[in-house]
Formats: sequence, C-alpha cells, structure tokens
Amino acid sequence: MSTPRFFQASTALSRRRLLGNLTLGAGASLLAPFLSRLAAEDSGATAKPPRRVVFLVEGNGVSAEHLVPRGVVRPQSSFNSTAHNVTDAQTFREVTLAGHELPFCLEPLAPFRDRLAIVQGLSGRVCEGGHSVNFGALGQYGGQRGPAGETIDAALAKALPAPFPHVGLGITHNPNEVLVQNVSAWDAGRALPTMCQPDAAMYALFGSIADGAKDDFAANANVLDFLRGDLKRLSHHLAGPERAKLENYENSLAVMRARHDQITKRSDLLKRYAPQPGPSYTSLVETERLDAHVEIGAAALIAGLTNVLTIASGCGGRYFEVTFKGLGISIDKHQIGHGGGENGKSGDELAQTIRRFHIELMAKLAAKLQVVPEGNGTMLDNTAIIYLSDSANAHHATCWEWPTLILGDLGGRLKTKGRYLEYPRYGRTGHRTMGCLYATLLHAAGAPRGSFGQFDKALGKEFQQGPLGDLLM
Amino acid sequence: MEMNGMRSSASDLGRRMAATLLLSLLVQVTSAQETPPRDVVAFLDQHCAKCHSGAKPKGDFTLTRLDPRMLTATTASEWIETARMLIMGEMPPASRPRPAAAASAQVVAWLRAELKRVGADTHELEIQPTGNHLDHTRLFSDPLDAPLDNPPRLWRFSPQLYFGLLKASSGERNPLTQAMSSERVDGFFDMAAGRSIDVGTLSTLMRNAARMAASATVHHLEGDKVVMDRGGLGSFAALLDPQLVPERKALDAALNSLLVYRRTQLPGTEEYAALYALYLKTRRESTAAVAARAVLTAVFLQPESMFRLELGLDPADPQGRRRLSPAEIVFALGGALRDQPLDRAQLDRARKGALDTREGVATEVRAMLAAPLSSNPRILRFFQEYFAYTSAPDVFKDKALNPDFYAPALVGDTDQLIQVILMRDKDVVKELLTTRESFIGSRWDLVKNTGGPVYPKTNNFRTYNLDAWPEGMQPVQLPVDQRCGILTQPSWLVARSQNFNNDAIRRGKWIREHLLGQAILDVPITVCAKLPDDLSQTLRTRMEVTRQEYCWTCHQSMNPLGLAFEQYDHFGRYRTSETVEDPSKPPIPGRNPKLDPPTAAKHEVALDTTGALDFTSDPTIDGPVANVHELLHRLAASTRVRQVFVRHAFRYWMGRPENIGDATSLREADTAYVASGGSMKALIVALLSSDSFLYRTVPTSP
Repeated sequence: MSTPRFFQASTALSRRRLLGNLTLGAGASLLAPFLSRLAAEDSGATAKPPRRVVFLVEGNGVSAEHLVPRGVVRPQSSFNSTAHNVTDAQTFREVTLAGHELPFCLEPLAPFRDRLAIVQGLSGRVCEGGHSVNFGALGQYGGQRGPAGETIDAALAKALPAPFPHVGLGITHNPNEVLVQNVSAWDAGRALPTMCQPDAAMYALFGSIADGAKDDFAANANVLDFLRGDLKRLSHHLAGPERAKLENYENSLAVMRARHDQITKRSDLLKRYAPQPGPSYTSLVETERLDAHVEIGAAALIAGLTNVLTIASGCGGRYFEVTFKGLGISIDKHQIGHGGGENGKSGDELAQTIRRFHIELMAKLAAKLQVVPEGNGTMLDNTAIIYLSDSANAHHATCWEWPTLILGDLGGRLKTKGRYLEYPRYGRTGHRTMGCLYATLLHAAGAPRGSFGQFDKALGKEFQQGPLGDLLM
Repeated sequence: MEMNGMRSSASDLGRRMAATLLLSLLVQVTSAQETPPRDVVAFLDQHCAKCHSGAKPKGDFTLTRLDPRMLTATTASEWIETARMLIMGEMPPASRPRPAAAASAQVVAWLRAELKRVGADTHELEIQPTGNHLDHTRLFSDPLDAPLDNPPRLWRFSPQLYFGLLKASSGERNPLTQAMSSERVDGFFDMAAGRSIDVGTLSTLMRNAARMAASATVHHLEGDKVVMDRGGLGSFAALLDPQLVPERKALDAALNSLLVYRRTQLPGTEEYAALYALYLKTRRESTAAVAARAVLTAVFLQPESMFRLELGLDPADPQGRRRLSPAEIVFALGGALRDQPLDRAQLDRARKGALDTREGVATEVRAMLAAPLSSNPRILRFFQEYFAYTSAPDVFKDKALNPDFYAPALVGDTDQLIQVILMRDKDVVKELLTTRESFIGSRWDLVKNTGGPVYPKTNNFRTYNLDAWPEGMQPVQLPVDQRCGILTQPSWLVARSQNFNNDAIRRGKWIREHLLGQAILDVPITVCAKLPDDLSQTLRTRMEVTRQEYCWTCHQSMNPLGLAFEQYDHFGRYRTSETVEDPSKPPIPGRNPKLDPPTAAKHEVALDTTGALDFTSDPTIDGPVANVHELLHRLAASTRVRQVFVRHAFRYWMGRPENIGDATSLREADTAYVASGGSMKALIVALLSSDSFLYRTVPTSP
C-alpha cells in the first residue's frame, strides 16, 4: 500500500517541527537520542547495522551450579550471609567450552556454544537482597528502593535508539496481569513497563498494520497533532511545576508522533515480520505466554521497532511466585525455592527443569535472529542476549555472586566465543562486580562509562571501575 | 541545653573554640552590616556546634569550615545546605532540643540576605517546608500570618478515577488496561505533585482511547441508515453516516453527551471547532467511521481525560484568590470521596448556586457522607493507605510454620473493624488506637461476591490467640492485654514484618511519621541496612548493631517505639516468650529427608516488651513504656497525635502535603473534629469545605 499524499506532507512537517522547535522539558532525556537518530536517518548517516541487546531475566535466583559445564569443577564456596569466605577461588579462571559438554540446563544452547560466554563470580552486593532485588538487578542499586535509578537496559536503549527505545515483555504469577513495572527504569522514579499479555504487546508493537486497525493508526497522526495544539488552552492557567506537567505531556505526544512516522516508514518490514497471533497469545499457561513473548520480541527486533528488549519471567518481589504448569509442575517458585519438591523430584530438580525451559527460549530467540541476513552476516552477529536472574544466585538473594550468560558478541565487540569465565570471589584480587559487566556492555554499545550503578562501599574502587577487560574486544 | 556552661569536657572545648573562631570571623566581615549577627552565632553555638566540631564532627562537617564571607562557590553551597536543613527542620535532629521557629527563621533570613549580597544562587532556598518537615507548632499554635499558597494545578487521575470516568463516558464494557501507575508519596498513593504523562503511560492511554472510541461507535448499516450496536452511543450516529458529512452542531451534540465534557467550563466553541476540523480532515483522508473514532480518541486523550483540572475558574477575590468554579467543585468532591467522576444532579444544583457558599459545599458533603460507606470508597481507602495494613498479603510467610495463616482475611478483619468505628463515628482516633474489638477471619474476597462477610472454615482465629471460632456477632472483644487498636491487628503487624521476623524499625518509623508527625531521613544510600542473621538471638539483641553512633542518630527515633511490639510474633500472634534458634542442639530433619531440608532446633527465651516515647514534642506523653498497651494508650491521649492525624487526612484529601498557608484550614478541621466528639464525618466536611480545598492562588511566576 502506498502512503497517501497527505501523510507524506504531514510527516515532513512534523519532523521539521520536532527537530526544530521542540520544548525539551522533563521528557528531554528521552527525546534527545531519539531525535538525534531521526536527524541521522534524515541525513542518510546510518549505514551500519544497529546493535541490539536482549535481557532475559528469570525471577527468583539462578543457581551458579546449574551453569557449570560438565567436567568443570567449580571452586568450593560457601556463599551465604554469615560466611562468604571461600577456600579456592582466588584467581581468575577461564575454561574453553569446546572441550566440555554443556550442563543439563544449558543443553539447548549447544548450537550456539561457540557464541556463548558463561560468566561466574561477579558480585552485586549493593542490591542487598530478598526474593528479588527488583530494579536493582539491572540497575545495581538497593533492590528494595523502587526504581532508584537508570537500569542497564534503559542505558543501552538511550545508546541504541529506535522507534520503541525499550520493549519490556514478560509474565507474572497472575495470568491476568496486564502491565507491571518490575525490572526496568528509564531513570530514578521512572519505571518502564513490562507488558504481560502477548496480545496486548502485539497490538502495541504491530497495531499499525493489523487488519481493521491500520486506518485508525494512520488517523492517529491527526489526533496527535490536534492534541499538541489543544494543550495551549490550559498552559496560561498554570505556572512552574504544574505547567511542567503539561510540557511533559506535550513531549510525550511529540515522541509518539515521531514514533508514528518511524513506524509508518517501516510498514513493509512490519508486514513481513509480524508474527501471526495464535492461542498462546491469550493462554493462561505461563510457558505459552513466554513463548509468545519471545516470538513478538524477536519480530520487534527484526522489524527494527526496537534495539533493546527485556523479557522478564516472574521478576520482582511481588510477581515471582509463578507456577510453571506448562512444564508439569504444580507448585510455585516460592515453594520450590524453599526446597519444595513433588512427584519424587526435589526442589532443585524442578528448578533445573524451569531453568532449561528459559534457556530454550534464549536459543529460540537466537535462532530467529540467526536466519535474518544483515550486513555480511546475520542479525545475531550484531546482538547480545544476556541471561540472568533478578535475585542473583539464590531464592533469597545475597548477591555475593551473580551467574550470567552472554550469547552473541554485539557486532564483534565482546569476547564471547565459547568461554567459561570464573572471576575471583568477593574481595579477592581481581574480583569484579555486575556494575563492571554493565559498563562493559555500554562500552560495546558505543556509549562507554567508567562504571555503572552504585559503588559497593565494602569493596575497593579497583574492583568496580572500568569494563571487564576479559570480555571487551 | 548544652550551652549553659555547667558541663566541661574536651568536646565542649572544641565546640567553644569553633564558636569563638566563627564569631571572630563573623565580626570581621559583618561589622558593617545593619543587623549584627550575634544572634546567629548564638544560635549556631547553641544548636549546631556541639556535634559539628572537634576531631570527629557529625556527618564529617565542621562549623569552622563555614567561611562567613561566602566568597567561593564551595562555602556558599555549604551555607545554602545549612540553611536548607534549618528550613526543612532536618537539623537539629529530633533527638536534640528544638530551636524556636522564630530563631531558625532569623538565621535563615540572615543567610538569605548574605548569600544574595555575595551573588550566590539562592533558588534552592526558595522552598517551603511541607508535610512532616513543617513545624507542628507553626501550624497549630503560632500566630496565623501566612496567606493561602495553593496554585492552580493538574492532578493526574488515580487508577480508580481513570477507570471510573473513562468507562462511564465511553460505555466500554471490556476491561481496559490500567495506565495510571501510582507510587506512595508522603504515605499516600493519589497525590498530585510530579505526576504527568510519560511516553509509556501515553502509549497505554492511546490504546485504551482507541478501544473506547471503537466501543462507543460500534454500529452497522441498514441500507444508508446507521444503526448503533449494543454499547454504541446514539449521539454519534450522525458522525458515522458514510453519505452525509455532518454539520458542526451534530458534533457539538455528540460531545455534549459525553460525561468527560460535562465536568468543567473549559471546553468552548473554539475547542469544538478544532475537533470538528479534526473530524473533517480525517474524513477527507479516510472514512466517516475512522473520523468519528479519531475525534473520540482525541477526546479521551485530552487533559480533561487524565488530569483533574483545579484551576480556579471563578473570578479572583480581593485577596487575589480564585475559587473553583461550581463544576470544578463538583468534580473535586466526586474525586475526593467516590472515584466517580460526576454526580449530574449535583452539577445541576451547583449551576443553580448550591455550592456558592462554604456552607453550601458543607451541606453537599454531608449529603454525600450520609450515603453508606461503600458509596464513598475513598474514605476506607484513606485508612487503608494511612495505616498501610493492606500490604500484609505481600509479605511472604512460610505456610509450613503456621498453616492457619491467611493474610487476606486479616486485611478483611481490619477493613471491617475500621468501618464499624466509622459507623459509630465517635472518638475515632482514640478508638482506632485503643479498641480491643476485632473481627476474626473474614474473607474479603468472598465479601466482594456475596455482599456480606463470610466466615469460612479456615483456622485463622488462632492468629488472634483463640482456640475456636468466636460465637455470635462480630466484632468480638479480645482480652485487654492482648489487642489495642489497629496497630495490634495482625494485618498491621504482618505488613510491617519480615518473612521470618518482626520489623521493629519500620513499626517505630510508622509511629514517628504518622502519629508524631516527625520526619526521619531515608536510609543513606551508602548504608547496607541489614541486621545480623544470627537467629539464636532475639530481635532486640540483633538490633543492638544500630546503636553505633552513625546509626543511632536516626534509630533512636524508631527502635524504642517499635520494640514494644515485640509483644507479638511475626504472624501477629500475641506471645509471652520469644522463640529463637538453639545452636546447642542438632538440626531437626525434615519429614521427608529427600525433599524437606532440616530446620534448626529452637527454644524459648524471656520476652522484653519495653520501649519508650522520646523526643515527641509532647511532654505529656514522653517517657518509658512497659508494653505496647501503655504505648498506644498514651499516644491516643495526645493532642499532638490527634492533630497529626488531621494533617494526614488533609494530605490525603487535598492530594498534597500541607504548607504554612494551610494553618487556618487545619485548625478549623481539628476544631470541627473535637467539637463533634471525634467525628470523622465532621473532619471530612471541614476539610472539603475549607479554603485549602476551594481556593487557588494566582501563580507567582509566569
């Protein structure tokens, strides 16, 4: 379908208006990178394929032992709240995955073994603890203090702008939950949403091409233009912070208007890659909804709607008690976390079953990106998929260590080709933190920072500053 | 007071040296000033120098660092921070003697003048203390001298109001996606400050708006005739006609039928003209149905569909204050009590002048309050948010440790108890803090479905230390030593507990903030606030770590209040001894060794329920307490506690913290409460007919 003439005219007009005389108020931090990107696109300066980062966050702890390749003996440790001393974890250690079979939980990643890095031993003590450290997991700050600062996915979204700077998808223990704010934050006090219903996410991302909705989507340009003019009725009644509320709303309208243009430009791509909603999009079964989210998220990445995706599976202290009925399990993660088992299986065995399912999702996402050509390779070449938990390594997080997987090298910027990395334990020479890992990702994304998140007061700064040299190309 | 010279020590010496040095500096620099700063020096000496001097100054801050010449940006900023601390009442800390408000104000005034004189940027000092930072005596005792300061504002809809208004306007039957998130501010969820529409929120609003527009215009064609389907708004039929382009008056009629457009006097011909232009433009580019939906989508995304507009549209009075227009008042009352946008009959009365006087507004509020409590859901919600007991189900409790525990029922019990107290409407604050009545084991989830309380066969009664279900009608009287008001309800106790322990710190903090009206600083971001995990010790013993000087500055305001609640275990059960782990005995294996981990052996130790009321600013209640019963009865008898309750009610119903310009409204509300024998209704009537509710002051900046 060709774009109607009126639409082209209004697009050009709105873009000029956006780039020229936008009042940057409270929404400025959101707008700035996006507008720069628009300007770059207008000048034809975006020849390189974009880099993409995906976070797959599993709620309520990922045991470090579940990620150890067969035949690799982990240093003995006794990480717990009263005694975190260790006897044999004093030096950095690397093992090549090529010589080892992957453990049960990671077997689905076998086809991607040569793109995978398993990273162990990084700490995140600033997050304190609990069943979940919530926004702290991706933000590296106190986990029970709400969205106290920017999270790493948001920081990357600012560096890798797209029509949707960040897309958050996920599930909670409540199958009817529509939208929660549980793991990502644009900055302090500004949580980003996690869309929990696949059909709603589908509409939000691909509604512009849906049958019966595309004409209304096109008309939204008129609606947004009307609304921006309409705000003038009120502004003279207000002053100071009250007027700023109106300006913030105006900024949001401007972002949506620009996004509208971007989506319109991509309509061919959207049509080509939009998934076909099936029964799983409205399923009450957790595994099916997660599966649908992966499908939608992959399509959003491929169609260029976003470059940063977070899939949150039961994340957040209020949402983690998921029962994975689709895996034949009838008790929730809370009971499993407390050692509960069923049908002759221990809590740990059930946890491994759930973990392996999440790794299957990771593999599925990677496979979808791998078949899409991009530049001289595929989309997967320009992507990194990070898997970790919002509760570090345990049901009751203590954050002494934070097991993490990285699949993909983000356009050749990360050294992730089949490696198992074991960092020295907390406080030992060479120990590093999750903040360093996040700083590494920002370096790789072209937005380097010296550190990320808060500093752990009990650790020297040398443990916490700079990227991880062992991972950064 | 430490400055009377009766005590002499090394720290006194350091303090005196600091003060002397400061004085000499001040005299050098300010001798030419009209007002000699000796009072300022005396103030700093009396209230600051003891802690902020010597080898180990508190907060690593010494007075001698404060160069009164303020010539560098660094010293200026330190003086600004000093002034800010005084303005906000954060220093001296609550545990130190309070300076007189006038003395603080004098220091701040001098600082402002000096900072301006040296050209420092003082915009940070243009702050007004609000909420608990505002000195209680200034509000309730000092002479009234500050005018109302209440600018026109936008108050973003609460989640409940958003659903109430939009669904009622559009006839939408399907569930909408909740777009309005809310976080607690000043203890309440629905506050006006700072909330706007960010991109994420707008994205959800747009989706809802599109859905509501589709619902409201659902129709089919019979020949050329538009026939509205179920849920469609008949007034929009003319806009959906594919053959005829409607005249402007058809659009006006359709819009006037919408509830959202009956609220304020703002929408006028100009706005309708713009919407008509939107309709025509979209129709030229697409179809009549798309154009009608575009108009409705736009209406559902206008500021009126997401903000409560409280602009003060009536003409200004001689003091420069503008009253809310009748329509604004009607919407404000609906928002205050009912999550319902608008009472059409009330709006008609308002347009005939029923709300033109304060007494008229009070009469209207009394009529609203005469309806059952369920018609005014924001009243119970105030108590739910104030006491914050509804979060009890969010605290995980291991069912293996107490199979009888069912937190939602505990919340339902407290809901019902509060409603009974409100129905009696006598000495409400005192009753809330001291009643030994309770409901036992109600099921709020079933109440919702059946319209009445249901007492299922759970054994929740054991949480109240009963051996069986109570006979007869509820509420029941529980033993006088066991329960004493909402703060001893299991729901409140569980909501302020950890997974496996009590949380004396948060309990104390709640009392300090919500009953005594004092501010406690947030946990410093650098502090890893965690008690030792040694469960062989009592909580009181484990909390000893907070007695380190760095921690104790704040913890002395919380721990002695919260520790009196050690009378209960972390499930909210009354107890006479405390259970701790016994490391001298081997762990007890789980029932199924393969599946159940072993648990630590336990034993009972003596219970200590002592606590203290310190630094309350009410000398009639200060002093040690033997148990929670004594603590709560003493609080319930305090005038200050009653007035702090009024302050919290004010915040909730005004959607903002009080400032000094609200002193008159607060005193009138307190007086109304006392004169009525402790009636919550009288308090609400006074608040919702106060100047703080009805008037807006003209913006002072462009």
